[in-house]
Amino acid sequence: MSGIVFEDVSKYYGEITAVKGLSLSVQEGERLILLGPSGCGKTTTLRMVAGLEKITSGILKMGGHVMNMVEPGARNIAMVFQNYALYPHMTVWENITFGLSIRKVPNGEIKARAEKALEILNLSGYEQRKPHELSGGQKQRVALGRSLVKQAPYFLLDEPLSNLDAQLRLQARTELVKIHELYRPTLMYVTHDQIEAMSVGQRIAIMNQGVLQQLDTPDIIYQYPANTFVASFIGAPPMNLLQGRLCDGKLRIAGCDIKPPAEWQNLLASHSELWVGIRPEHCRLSDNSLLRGRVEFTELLGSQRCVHVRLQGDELVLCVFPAEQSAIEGTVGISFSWEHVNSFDSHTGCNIGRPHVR
Amino acid sequence: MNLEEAEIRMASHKAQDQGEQILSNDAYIQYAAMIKNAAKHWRRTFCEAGSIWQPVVFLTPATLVLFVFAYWPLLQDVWLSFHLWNMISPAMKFVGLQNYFQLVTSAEFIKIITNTVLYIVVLLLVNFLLPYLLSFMMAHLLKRFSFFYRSALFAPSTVSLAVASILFLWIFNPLAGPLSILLSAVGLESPRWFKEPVLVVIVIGLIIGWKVFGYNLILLLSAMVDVPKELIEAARIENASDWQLFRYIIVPMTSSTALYVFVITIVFGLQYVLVPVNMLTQGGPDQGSTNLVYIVYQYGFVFFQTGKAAAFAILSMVIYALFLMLKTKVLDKKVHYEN
Repeated sequence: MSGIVFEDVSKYYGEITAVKGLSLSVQEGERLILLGPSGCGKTTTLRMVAGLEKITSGILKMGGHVMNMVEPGARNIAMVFQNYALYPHMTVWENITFGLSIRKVPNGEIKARAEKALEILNLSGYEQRKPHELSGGQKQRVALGRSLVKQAPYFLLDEPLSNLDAQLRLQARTELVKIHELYRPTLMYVTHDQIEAMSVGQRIAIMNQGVLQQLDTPDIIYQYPANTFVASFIGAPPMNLLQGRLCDGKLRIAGCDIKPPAEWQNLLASHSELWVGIRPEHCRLSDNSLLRGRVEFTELLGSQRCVHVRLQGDELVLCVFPAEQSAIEGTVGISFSWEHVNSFDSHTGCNIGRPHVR
Repeated sequence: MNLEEAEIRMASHKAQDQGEQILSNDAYIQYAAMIKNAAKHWRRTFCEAGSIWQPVVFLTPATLVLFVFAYWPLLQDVWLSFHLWNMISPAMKFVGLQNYFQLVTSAEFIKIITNTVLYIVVLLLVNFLLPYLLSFMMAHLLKRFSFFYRSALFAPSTVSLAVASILFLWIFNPLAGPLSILLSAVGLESPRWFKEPVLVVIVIGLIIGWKVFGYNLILLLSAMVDVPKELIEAARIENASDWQLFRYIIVPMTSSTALYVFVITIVFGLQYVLVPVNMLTQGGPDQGSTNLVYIVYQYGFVFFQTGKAAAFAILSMVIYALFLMLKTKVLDKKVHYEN
């Protein structure tokens, strides 16, 4: 019984809205990622769970109990801060055992737990170092160790990897997942990095401007984004969003008339204008094409190449991954298969759905 | 013939025309070149970066000022402490260590030392411990009105000690002062604040405290707000109480500033004593409010026993030096410096 439930939780700083009407439930032992651009309210949400921010309205339940007014120290949470918040005047050992000695855990127990944590985190031998004598990665592991020894049922992480370089981040990401698997606390993890979110999270909550946009598994979020914000936020390069107009059963995109398959007809019938979303990797360059455009430039992304195509009579830029061709120039044709298409209402931005999903 | 030489030649011709030539032409050129070389040598020795003389050149003015206004008077003071002299008589009588013996064996000596220690205790309470705790509360526990408290507590620092002394003379007036009126309202009789031993030290300590408190508070407050917010939040999450937070996080993190305030509280505090004591009690009752600093002034400029005043000055300097040595050897080791 250590789930976290938000019931219509809002947070205002005077006139400014940080989080608005958030309803969300985190399952026991789950890794939930809060993802969004900076200023979207994800850190505020995490800090409300920690008790470091007061909740303006709504109810926060942890383990079935209302926690709105409970002090941070009484919530039994472990938290890793973005800049680690290690006590600079204490050694690694003191940093890791500080919380336990405050809680008057017996000395033998403290020793056993701290030694285990140091071993797991590859920090044995660094016990007597001060934080300023450690590298960034080591500091990050000490911060993790400090939360680990607590064996708290709730594990909160606020952008824990953002101060590491790209290579260390990759390594720390997998370590983090392994550590979570060890004793499976309920984990809430704030990040603005979608790759991190996808690889660490079992479910992702995407927020924008204080409002929850979509809460689902990484897979579903990627394939069926709930709205245009999620569609353009997730994926790099992001999903192509093309303005479409429906007339006489034909979808007109950038001057090309496309006839949607029969099962789409009913779905699209009620929308005369909409956004059509196609992921770059689902676009193919082909002669038997649905759309035509002029190649603007080609970008190398390592394993793939990304071609930016300007469609006819339209400012939209489409991005496709060619198979093996090297030099791509001039006018090209682009095709896609309807099973990968998402369509969004042009007014609300919400996903209209897909024939076989609906 | 290069340009410089030509210049020199021209100058020498000019001099010749004016009938001022003392040296022959060639000798003149040699002489000028010598001076030029000397100047170059001088510039290389004293002015160019990396020369060992450069620091000497830069430090000399400050050293001279310090020597004239600090070290020379100090040496003079040591010399004076071996003499009897009333500032007027043309002859100074050499008495060796007599001044020191008299001062150590006199009845007032113990009193002066006790008073000094008592002042230190009062000053540390009012100007160190209290602002330390208050600055912690203002920085980390207070939710609002922080600006009001900061301004209100700092305001007295802008008032001169002489004004403060007169103000408190009136406040502590045992017959008509506001304090006595308050005390009599609850049926208590106001003590004669400036006439009772011990009490007078506490009251003067409070006057100094009233003035200096705000300044120390601001110093400590700046150290308190420098403690990163996350460290405090991390400790809060560990369920640390306010006291544990203060003891284990705040005190170590602010210890370098705290040590500085601790030292100036003692070193400056004892000197601040001079103004109110001189204005209000002249060391009385029966040397009950004097201290190591005031006694120097009193012997020198009230009793005109300059030898004894000098001896007291040397003694207080030795005590200060011992204190600062203790600070460097012991206290500095226990302090956490950021870098």
